[in-house]
Amino acid sequence: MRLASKSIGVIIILAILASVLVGCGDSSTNGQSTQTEKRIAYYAFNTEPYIDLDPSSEYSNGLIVLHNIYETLTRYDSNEEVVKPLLAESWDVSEDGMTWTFRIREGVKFHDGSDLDAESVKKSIDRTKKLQMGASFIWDSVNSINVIDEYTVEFVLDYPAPIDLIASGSYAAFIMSPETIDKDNQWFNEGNASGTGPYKLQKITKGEEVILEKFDDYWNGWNDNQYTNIVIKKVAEGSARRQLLEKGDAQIAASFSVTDLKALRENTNVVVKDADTWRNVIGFFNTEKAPLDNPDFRRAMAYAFPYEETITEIKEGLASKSYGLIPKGLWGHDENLNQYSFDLEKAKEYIEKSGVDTNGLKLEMTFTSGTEAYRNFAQLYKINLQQLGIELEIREMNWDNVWEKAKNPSPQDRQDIVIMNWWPDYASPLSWVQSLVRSEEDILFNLSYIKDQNLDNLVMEFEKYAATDRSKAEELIKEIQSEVIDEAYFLHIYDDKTSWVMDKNFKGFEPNPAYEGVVFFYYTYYGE
Amino acid sequence: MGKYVIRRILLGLIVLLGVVTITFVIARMIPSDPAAKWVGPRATPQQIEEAKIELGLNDPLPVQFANYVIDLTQGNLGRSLRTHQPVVEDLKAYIPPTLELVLLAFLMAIILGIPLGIYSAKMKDKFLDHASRLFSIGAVSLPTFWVALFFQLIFYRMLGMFPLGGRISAETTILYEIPRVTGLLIFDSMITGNWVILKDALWHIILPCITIALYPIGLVARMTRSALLEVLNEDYITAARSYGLKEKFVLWRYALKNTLGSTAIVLTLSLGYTLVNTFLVETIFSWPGLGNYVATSVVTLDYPSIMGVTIFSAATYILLNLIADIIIAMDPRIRL
Repeated sequence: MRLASKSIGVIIILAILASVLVGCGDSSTNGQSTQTEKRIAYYAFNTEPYIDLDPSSEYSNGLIVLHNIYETLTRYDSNEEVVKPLLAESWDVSEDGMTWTFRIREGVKFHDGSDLDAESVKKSIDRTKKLQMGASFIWDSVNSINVIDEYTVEFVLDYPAPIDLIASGSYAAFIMSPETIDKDNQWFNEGNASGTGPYKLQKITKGEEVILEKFDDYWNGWNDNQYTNIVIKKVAEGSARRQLLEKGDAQIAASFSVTDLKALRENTNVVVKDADTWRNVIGFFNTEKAPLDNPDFRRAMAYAFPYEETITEIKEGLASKSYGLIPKGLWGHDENLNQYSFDLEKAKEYIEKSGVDTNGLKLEMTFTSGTEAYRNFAQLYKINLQQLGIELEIREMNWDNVWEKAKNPSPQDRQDIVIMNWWPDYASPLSWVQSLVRSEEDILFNLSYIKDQNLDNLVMEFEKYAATDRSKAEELIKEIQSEVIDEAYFLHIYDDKTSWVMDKNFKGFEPNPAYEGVVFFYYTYYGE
Repeated sequence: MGKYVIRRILLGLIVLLGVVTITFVIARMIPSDPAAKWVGPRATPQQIEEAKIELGLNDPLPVQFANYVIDLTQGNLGRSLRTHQPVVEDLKAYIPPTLELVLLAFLMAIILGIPLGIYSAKMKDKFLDHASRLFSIGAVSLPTFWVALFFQLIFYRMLGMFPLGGRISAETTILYEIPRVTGLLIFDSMITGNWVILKDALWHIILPCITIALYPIGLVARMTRSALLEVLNEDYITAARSYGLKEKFVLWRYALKNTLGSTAIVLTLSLGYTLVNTFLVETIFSWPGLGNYVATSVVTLDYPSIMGVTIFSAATYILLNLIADIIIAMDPRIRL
């Protein structure tokens, strides 16, 4: 019996210890009130907030952190669809689009106290170009960067390119302190940073959490109700992010399941904001392999896809219809372009026209595993194709395997259809046509394997006019998309949307599809 | 005994070399383009070619393997394709939080599991024995992820007693300098006398720790109970009792001593399973440990990181096996 008493004693001691700890916990983090006093904004992010903190090489989630620490010469305003000054006050371009001159904002300080000038801009971009990592390719057109005077910098190009848009890029366009130019990747990843942005890097927990603090000398000044500290933390589980918002412990989060979103929309303590993204989901037909080398057969395949059902039933309205390659909200998007819709009768007509015998025909569709929407629309597509006598084999694989198969030198060993999403590196339709449409010697992302001289010429012209003549460029992008749609190289499945969920007192946030996932915390504030 | 230990160590090293060879071959056989991963998702063919040279991927496979093993002996596990950081640096950051969780869970398993097993054996077939056995079976068989989500629902959402996840509060991180000596936060805050951080760290570790500890607690309790019951039926216990020795003395001095060896072995060997469980629990509780690193590395086929973690896990398991073997060897009834 004494033994039993001892065990009970141990349990009581542990219970007391637990209650003491609970007491400590309650006093140290009293949710909303503590956060209000210190003005801490907590962004519960669904995966690692960064992979690499080097502003020259990061090409992943890190933009959500880096855009609050560093700034770019320009920033794209998606509401007005124009690029606006940021660290550059103004800029000019030569008539041939080969020379761009930027006037740098005066009186801007880096976090380490040094001043922003033309030299620091040149050094930053040169560093990014030299490293040849991440999205550094956005500067490929730049031959040299010249410092004209203390606050004027000139970009001389090898071929015309929209440097004002490139300089607003979501990656690889950050301006960093001259003191950090010679630092290596490891130095940045040890938690060091020096940009001109409104927040300084305070602390990091590798792969898990980033804490930012207000930079008092920020050139644009501060208001009392802005957030002083920002916590960007990985919370992988959707249910956990939901609970944090419902309890008022997190201010903002995204990437929720349809079920969680339904519940959150009914909660009066949070606000749900649905926003367009520039990410669209595309199916690539293998045009180098029979029967998808036949344009009429591809058209039949395009008519058999359940577009509406995918948007309304699978995505529950969190996507919009694709019109060609360019997503909604980005210049070049044109809702007057022809679009395929689900029509099995037309599909049958085109199969007949193509002369393809579908009896016993098997096609293979691949995509990255774990994407629920892809899995569901693939099943619907499979059912539709069965009515045409076509068997669709659905193969979910790791992205590397999907990509390796798609790049196989032998067209016969590749898949028939691959599903992938695409988004731009800066506010321009260029990357869709350059990467997905233009002929490639070594296959990278032209996974429909298009080799069309006419399209190549159009893309080349488009590149030129995108930098110098927007209206001409818009005509060309329309022409490119019309041909691509007519030839049915792709399944234009949907333009994706995202739902942001915010605490009702978290104000000032406007999603900007040019910077996916980024919350520019400087513009947010606490408000009753 | 000395010879036996040396033999076991050598055997362990051979196993480790086998693990290195197999993981290296598998990593190279998986269809993947490490060079493309190194330079980024939209790299140009020229960038990819330059990366191949930089990473030594154009060398013949045996040369690559030899280089890897040579680097390994110098403590270099290569660079992560995803983070671009030395894998050793990544592991240094991620191992301590995992280790802290596992060690505390095992401490809990010893403190609670052994008394529970003794108590259960002593009260055999009484109500409290049944209750204890039910708890042990439940603790061993309940899926860890379910327990983790259940705890979050009850203790965070409904009762508000514990945080949802993380290792320390953001407020504490902002206001205080976090001590970094060993990387084990609880230990570091204790030795530096930082009580605010200690309290906050304990508050955060309780739920994930109990979640992980449930399995070894159940296992230890069941093992202790059955081993003790077996020993208590031995003739020498009957003899001890017939000499009129007190029951407490018989239990602690004679019976328990002979059961602890097997309990220790079970506990040691269950560490491998617990480590895997920990990876899952870390994801649910947003614990910045090895679990998250492994999960992301596997999904992105970051093979230097996968190999680094595999070698670390294999080395840990081999070491624990060695300890278990030494424990067995220390029993005078065992002939080596």
